Amino acid sequence: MMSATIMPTTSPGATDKATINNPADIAVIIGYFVMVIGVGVWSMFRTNRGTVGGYFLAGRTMVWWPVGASLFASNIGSGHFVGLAGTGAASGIAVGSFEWNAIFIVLLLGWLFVPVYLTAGVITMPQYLKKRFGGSRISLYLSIISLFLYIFTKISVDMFSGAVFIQQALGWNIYVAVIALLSITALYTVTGGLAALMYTDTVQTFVIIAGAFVLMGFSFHEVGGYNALLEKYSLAIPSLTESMDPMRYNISEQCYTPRADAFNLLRDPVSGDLPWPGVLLGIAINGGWYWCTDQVIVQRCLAAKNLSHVKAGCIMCGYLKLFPMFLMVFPGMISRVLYPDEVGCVVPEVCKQVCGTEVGCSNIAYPKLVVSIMPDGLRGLMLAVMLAALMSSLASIFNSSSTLFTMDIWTRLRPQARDRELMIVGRVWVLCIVAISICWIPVVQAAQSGQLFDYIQSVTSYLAPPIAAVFLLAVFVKRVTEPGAFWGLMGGLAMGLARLGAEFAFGTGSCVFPSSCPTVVCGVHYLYFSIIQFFCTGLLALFVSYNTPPIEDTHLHRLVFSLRFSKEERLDLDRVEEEKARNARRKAEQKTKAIVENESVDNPPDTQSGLCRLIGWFCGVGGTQAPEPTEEEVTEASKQIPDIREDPVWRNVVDANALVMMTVAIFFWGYYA
Amino acid sequence: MGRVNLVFWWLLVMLDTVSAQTETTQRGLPNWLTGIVAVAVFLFLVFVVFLVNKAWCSQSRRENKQDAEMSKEYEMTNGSTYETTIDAVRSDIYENTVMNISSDGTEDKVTVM
Repeated sequence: MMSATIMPTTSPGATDKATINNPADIAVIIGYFVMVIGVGVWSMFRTNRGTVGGYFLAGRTMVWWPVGASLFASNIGSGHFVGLAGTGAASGIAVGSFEWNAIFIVLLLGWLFVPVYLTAGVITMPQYLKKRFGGSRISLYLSIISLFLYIFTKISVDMFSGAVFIQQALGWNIYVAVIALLSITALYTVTGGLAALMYTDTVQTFVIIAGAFVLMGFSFHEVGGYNALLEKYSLAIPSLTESMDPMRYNISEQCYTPRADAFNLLRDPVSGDLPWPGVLLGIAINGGWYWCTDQVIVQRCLAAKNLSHVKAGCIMCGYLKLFPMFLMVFPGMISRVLYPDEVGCVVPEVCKQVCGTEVGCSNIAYPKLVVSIMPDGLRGLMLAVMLAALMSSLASIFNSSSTLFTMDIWTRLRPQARDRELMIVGRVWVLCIVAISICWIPVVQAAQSGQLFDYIQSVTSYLAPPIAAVFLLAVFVKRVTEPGAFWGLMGGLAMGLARLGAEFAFGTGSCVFPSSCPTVVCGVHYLYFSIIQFFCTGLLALFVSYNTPPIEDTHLHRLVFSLRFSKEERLDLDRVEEEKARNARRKAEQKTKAIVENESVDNPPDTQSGLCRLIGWFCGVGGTQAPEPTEEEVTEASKQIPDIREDPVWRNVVDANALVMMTVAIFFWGYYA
Repeated sequence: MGRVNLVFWWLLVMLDTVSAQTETTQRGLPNWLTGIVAVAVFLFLVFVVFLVNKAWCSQSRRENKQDAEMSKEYEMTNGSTYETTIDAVRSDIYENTVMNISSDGTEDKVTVM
């Protein structure tokens, strides 16, 4: 039914594909958008978005189910649909171990890290490092590298996957589609803040899971059942396997034959594409960065009402993370079974004709299923699912990067900025980052690699482990000092950049055209490299720390795990800087008061024009600015320690639930090991 | 709870299909058995950790409580070391009994003036 069509990467216009042009599909998509925008608008009325706490942390009033749903929806983006399915099609179920490993890491987040972050009273992760170590270079480095990683891994990958899907399913011009999507996402991010995001994320989670389940049902029906998949996958060999240009290259059999260990999670440590020590430890390290130290995820936990709600939300997210293996990886493998000549193509010229890139077409595994086997109406649902995944992830990243930029970089440039200015800057930054993302599309297109998920994971593997190591040490080891942490980070960064540079210089290559990168540099699997980098950073940080004077306990109360319940007064390491900032804000406040008084003496104040007021309400600013507290009020406020005690009944309920969840996860690991 | 039900439903589906799997016989142990073995090992480790936690933490907690009681009594009684808490006179040997301390001779006789 579906002939191999040329994917229009550079030329716009729809082709004669099964596009979404019937009333059922369109009705579903419009219904989805109405629902999301409705929830966004409703949440605008529910929380105060005019303050820093209200906009960036939803006023710290969230209960467990928006927290859990938001954790899941922020994590699962269109990159997961395209990447997990594609890598599953190419190499089997081992890629699902990324998801199943995260189940345990998210428990670490809730039980070990969030108590410390909550009781430290911080909004952003660089702020935590600033309080923990003092000085400003570590927090500046972390802000910049986090923004860098967001743009180059999360945003670009999600947009690229969304674009792949839209082009396969709709045939729209890629720029039109992406700009429309980003506008809608930016709209409810800018207006609603974190509260709107978390409530819409709950809706998105339902849509994602429901739609993906439907597709999974159809796919299994099409392939003939779970057993049929097990048998047929090893027989999914494309019909065209001869090299078209034997002078240039030859295609060895292993390039197009499905792997023998395709249904194993734990693979050979030397020859496997995801070796099991790397899977168990390396993914945990990368996961540790993503779930426990990254602003996007931690911000959602900080918005919760109390610690029990955080933990319950983490458990809910853990259960939801059981699904992607069945919802995305298995359908990806089914796609290869059903369409071996397209999804499993191996001859570069054929691949270029099928999907526009010579390296391989496994990325089209999921969109192909949606377009080919879903009936009318449900295709619209699947498009809604992809949009849900894309928009929820992008919105979360926009909001968190705006938080990082506003609270860490802007306040450094202008310490006298007050709440109102920070709100406006935050919203303007979202628009800036949307523009940067749009400009990044052609770059990602040009660098199209056959295995998208691998690309994200490998880039992350080279830059994230030092951060995970430093955070782990910061929370658990009191002896680590500022020079230790800084030089550990720099050393890790140097290692990572060396490997990243080599890989980009020589190219990642493919099975048919192997890369010429020397084995010494590129031979180490990226997960092993993570482990090495993690331990090297840790050792370097500890070594430098032990050679520098330690940080006194008075500076560390409620900033490390062992002192998280301490009630004593803390001497903040950044108090000098904070006091300067507060003085600057007080001076600015007095200046504006003087100006207003002078003006009101000369002429009565004009009422704001209707347009200004409308924009102000829409953006949530324009309420009266709270006066800057005096020094006495500040010391009084610092004595109010955030409470991380839990009701013992709920603590036991939550702990028991966590145990059940770990048991279930371990069963599945054992089953597919 | 719905989610757990869903998981159990999946478990049942998989148990159903195991009988037709031919590849697993090569591995010697069917998939579901590996899963159950992993769960058993995990629960055993959790149990061990729980016991260790109870034994080790309760010991340090008892030491802390005794120290706290000693210092509290010292403050409350202005330096005198008369033992006035019920724990001090609770009999170790017999349950729900207290020792008769009237013969200790540590009580002051208060006479009405």
